[in-house]
Amino acid sequence: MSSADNIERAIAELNLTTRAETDNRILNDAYAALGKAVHKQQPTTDTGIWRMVVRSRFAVPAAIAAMIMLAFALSVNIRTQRAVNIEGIYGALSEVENIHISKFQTGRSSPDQQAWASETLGVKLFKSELGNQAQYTLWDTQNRVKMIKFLSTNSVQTVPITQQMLAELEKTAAGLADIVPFSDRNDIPPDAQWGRIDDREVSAAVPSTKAYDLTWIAKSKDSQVIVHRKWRVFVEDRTNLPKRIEWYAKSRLEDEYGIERFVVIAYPNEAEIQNIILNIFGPRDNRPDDPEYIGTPGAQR
Amino acid sequence: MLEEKRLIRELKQGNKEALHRIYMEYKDNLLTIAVSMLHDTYAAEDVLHDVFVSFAGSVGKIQLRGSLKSYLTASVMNRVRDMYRKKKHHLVELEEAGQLAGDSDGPMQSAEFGEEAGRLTDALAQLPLEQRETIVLHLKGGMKFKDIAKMQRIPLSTVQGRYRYGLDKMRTILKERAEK
Repeated sequence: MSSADNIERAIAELNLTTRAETDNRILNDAYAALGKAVHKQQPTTDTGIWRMVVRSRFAVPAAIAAMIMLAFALSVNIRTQRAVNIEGIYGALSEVENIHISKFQTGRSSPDQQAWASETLGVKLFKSELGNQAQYTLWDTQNRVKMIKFLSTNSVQTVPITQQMLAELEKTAAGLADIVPFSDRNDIPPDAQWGRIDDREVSAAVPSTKAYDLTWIAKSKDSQVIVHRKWRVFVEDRTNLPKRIEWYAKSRLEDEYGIERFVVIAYPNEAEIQNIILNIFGPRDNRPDDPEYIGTPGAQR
Repeated sequence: MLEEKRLIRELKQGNKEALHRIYMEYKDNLLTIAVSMLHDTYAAEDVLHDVFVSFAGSVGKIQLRGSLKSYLTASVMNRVRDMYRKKKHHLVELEEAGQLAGDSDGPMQSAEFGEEAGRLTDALAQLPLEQRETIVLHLKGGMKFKDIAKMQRIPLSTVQGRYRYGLDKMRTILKERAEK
């Protein structure tokens, strides 16, 4: 084992295993730590401003004072808010639990694809149009059922989800990642440029947002094809979440970027997503005779 | 990634099963990283223990920016560095007392891993810490050089140099051993 290749392979394949007693010790201590941490997180009505409001006879003035101070602090924070960096956007997106994405081709006023995803409900819903065939596809991973509604015939096809299908879904769900230029922020090229767009007209296109551009040079594997790419994001002031994304590209010979497509993003709550599913597929009670229907989209989970 | 996010969300709700799954998924790789760095099974198990207890105890504050694997690997490396800082201090005391102590704990420890793994960890233990860390992060942590550079706040060329010199040195060490 003397060549560097062999050494690299040997280290990569090196695999040590923990002992059973080590596993028990670590897991027991980790469970205890988790229990304490979660207990600490539990909200209590017996603390802070709310305790002041409820219990103290001097409560009202004190609580009002506290709230005024809080409001002042928040307003100062808003006034001194700095420009958003790209890490802030990735961070905000990582916390999102419900999302609705509409993808548009340039010059089109209606989306060619829409996706809703709720991590808390364990559902992903896609609307796509293939020729004249429009359909909704619902992946209800909690109930392990996939439902397709064909709008041309108004019929519903239901199939159980297998482990393999779930793995496929994970891959296709990367389509949701069409809102960020790189699925891992660490893959952003070091020479990529990030900056806020000063043009107020651009930012005004989406209310309560600020617009930023990320530009980079994309090369093919053999470096023969070079494309200049631009990712324009309209970020909501309050949340750092993107509300609209525009994808641009140009060749080396072109001066101006041309828009390729754009994406509009909304952040519905669970109930809104449940209602959308309910409106498309209807409640379970409506089709008790369907032997294949085992999912309960829209039901209480 | 989505699966990891789901596990973290469940963990934040106090789900022990989620913690169990994360532990079972990463424990062996993290132990291997810690042993490769420390060349001491017991110290490596202590690192693994501290990392997971701290991970579970600070669950409310966890915000994944990259993968869970990178997060846990970085946590192991931080603990390893802490251990080295303490160990260095301890070694100075020992040397002052007229004793000599090496970085390696010798073949007794590595005998538990099997001959091949023992040879590798012995050779790794003879590398400077920075070279060892680069090799282990890249080959066992699955980190790209640019990510290691970012994590350690050093130029990419330095990371590549440490990796190359480290491998060269390992090759020499292993060759010398084979000839003996």
